[in-house]
Amino acid sequence: MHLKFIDLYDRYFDDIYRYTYFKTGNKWETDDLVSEIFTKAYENFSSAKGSYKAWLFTIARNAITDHYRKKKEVVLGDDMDLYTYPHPFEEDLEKDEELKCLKSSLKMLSGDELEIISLRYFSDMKYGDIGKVLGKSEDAVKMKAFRTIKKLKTLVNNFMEGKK
Amino acid sequence: MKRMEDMDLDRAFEKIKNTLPVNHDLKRELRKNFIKKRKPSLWKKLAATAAAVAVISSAVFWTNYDPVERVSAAELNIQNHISFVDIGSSQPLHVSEHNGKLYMPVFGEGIFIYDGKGFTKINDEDTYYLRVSPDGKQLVFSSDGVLKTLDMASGKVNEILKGDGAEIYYEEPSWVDDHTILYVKKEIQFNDTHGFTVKESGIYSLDLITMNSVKLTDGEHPSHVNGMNSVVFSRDGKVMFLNLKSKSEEIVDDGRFPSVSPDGKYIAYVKTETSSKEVAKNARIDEAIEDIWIADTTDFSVKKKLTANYPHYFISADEWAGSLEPSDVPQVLEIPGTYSYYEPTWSSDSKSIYAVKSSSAQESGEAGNRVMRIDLAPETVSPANTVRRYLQALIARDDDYAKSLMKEPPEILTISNPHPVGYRITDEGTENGNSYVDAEVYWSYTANPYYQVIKSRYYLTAGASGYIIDSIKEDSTIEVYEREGSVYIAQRDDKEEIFKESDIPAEYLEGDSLRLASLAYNPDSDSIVFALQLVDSVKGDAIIRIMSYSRKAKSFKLVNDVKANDGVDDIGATGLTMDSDGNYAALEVYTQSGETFGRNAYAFDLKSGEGKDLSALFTSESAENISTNFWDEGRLVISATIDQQTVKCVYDPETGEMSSF
Repeated sequence: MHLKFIDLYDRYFDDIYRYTYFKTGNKWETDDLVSEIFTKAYENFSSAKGSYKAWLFTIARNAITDHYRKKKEVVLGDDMDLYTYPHPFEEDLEKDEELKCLKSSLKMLSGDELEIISLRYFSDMKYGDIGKVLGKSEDAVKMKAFRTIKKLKTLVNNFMEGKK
Repeated sequence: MKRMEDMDLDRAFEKIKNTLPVNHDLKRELRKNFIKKRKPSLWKKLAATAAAVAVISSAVFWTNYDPVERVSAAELNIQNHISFVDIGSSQPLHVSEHNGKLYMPVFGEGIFIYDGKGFTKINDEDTYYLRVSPDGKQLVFSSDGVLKTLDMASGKVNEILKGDGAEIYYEEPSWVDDHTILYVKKEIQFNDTHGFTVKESGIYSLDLITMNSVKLTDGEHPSHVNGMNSVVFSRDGKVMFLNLKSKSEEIVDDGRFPSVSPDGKYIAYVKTETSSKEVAKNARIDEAIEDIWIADTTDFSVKKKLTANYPHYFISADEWAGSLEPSDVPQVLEIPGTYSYYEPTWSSDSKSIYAVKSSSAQESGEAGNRVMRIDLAPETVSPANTVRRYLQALIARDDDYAKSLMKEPPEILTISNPHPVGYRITDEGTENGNSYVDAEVYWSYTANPYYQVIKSRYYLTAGASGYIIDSIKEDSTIEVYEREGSVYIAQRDDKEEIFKESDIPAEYLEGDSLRLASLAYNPDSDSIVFALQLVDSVKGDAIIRIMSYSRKAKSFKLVNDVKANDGVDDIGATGLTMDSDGNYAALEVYTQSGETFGRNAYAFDLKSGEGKDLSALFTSESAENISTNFWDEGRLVISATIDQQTVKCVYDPETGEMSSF
């Protein structure tokens, strides 16, 4: 049976919204971008191939990158991922010490590291699909994810010990 | 301070993920653009049919003058599903109910009753299996192959059948009527080297007056079908139906632990559903998920699944597939359900099913084995009650039930702190033709002055078996907390100081040790109740002083004191909560007596200041560690540990009475 576009929409709207929100950090840009992403996806649905989720996230990632490129007039080839994570968790009212440390640690990651964390943990994507979105092999993504988690653990540890 | 080793990064990520918002209004609006115009009426048609069915079935229910009118198993809706006893010892895993009293064997301890007085031992007999008679006057039970009855009024125990303790065992007794039982006789043969073979597993009936015994068939777990002269039992993984007159046998379904409702209409049983998926070449994952089902005794094709178990992936499918070496030998990963269910049995009014569920996701903070109850009726649960049940299940950690009430259930997480301590339904209505319910959930931090009120809107749609929560939209969050000697209230970007500790009138303070240990906030009355940890200046004893502060009147009021008393050396506040109307507060304390630590709980009327020691509500002398779980709106759910079991009961501060779930 063929998947209908509306099924794809219902299934992945929340993931796409959170992914976009995490990148932009504000609701207004997220609303605009998410509308644009799904409209593009709807128009091109007949040409979708392979994993629908990877396909949809590729559209999302490109739309967000385009948006920032226009806005910031950044040069192609820059670490676009860094530009698209301007200030995750700007209003840090977090009371949970553990989360506070994790959020602070996330801020110290590079753009491509944050991208993998975001796709893996906030968008529930499989490594294979992440590879498709980022144009990397599954093994390369796994290796990168493994190193990022290790780095993050060290950072969180430092934060926790540094406090109180 | 926690160390890194304790931290579950996955869980922390999940928490962060949940703080990322989703605009559900946009989701709904935008969705309209992608719906093809050709089938707009289908949904409406379905809704109209559902409404018509609802009208018809309620008409059938309310005009049900004919006593033999049946509601089929498929038409029964789950009204509630709650767990209320955490089983500390591993055996045995079943209970039996009569008129609200639950009989439960605790191996090595005896037979217990769970009711509004907590959990009380009635007998010292070692028991594996017990069943209460239809008139509630006798118990039949088995232990080590011996069948016995217990007369409730006199407490007298009668041995009725005794195996030889080696090769003959009598087990799994159940009642046909007040003087006839069914049982299983097992004959085993020891093998020459080691182990044994079951030579016979026969189902027999026994008249307790004449002691006449008749063999009915081979199998296990017999249960009599009232009004149909039949017996339901299990054999080789199948639930079977035996007509005693024609001697004919039919298969009901795959499953085990069958139990027939006392009115003879339904069979409850546990069935495992399996599915298989290929994840790589020569590698597949088999899921085996068990659930409690019911089937009609008159039409086995009419069935309904009552629980919503889900797979417990202790390793992700990707991770497992990635770890495999290529091989010509097929490799299989077996994934069980998060829960296992044992021995469903019916209440004497045939309206509820009791069972034991065992969670394999113990790292999530759920207890291993819990006694649960599912209430059934043909009525549809209203949207407000659906949200009530959802919140109650979420707080009580009945994840299988909470998930069954949601359209797309997320991974439900245990968060130790802050943790939910109460909820309230504030409004309900319709928006764009969809039902919604507004609710507040209260969160608190153990032994820390922090309280949070989260207001959310729950959107629901009517499904075949009741309402389902489509989405939840968080509206606002209020936080009240103490920091560096001041109590603050924070909402969105606003933060306001409510009072400083130094504002508390000196007459309420004693000694030199002052600590604001815990607090709670009620948004309606805009008042705060807090616990001060003090030391008596004369005797040096610990005092917990409960006070309230009204933001409107800007005034403090003393509610009551809890002091270390005879036999208790030290006392400290670990939690303070308020009911949803702000009329009552509940305090949980730790106590220290020499080397022994314990917990106790108190309830206070905030108007009169009157306090109640909640440990006094339990009749069993071995009741200890009384804790406050959460406010089920105006009623307080409390728990106590009694002879290794943790039992939950409900305290109503209006009446001062405790009741069972």
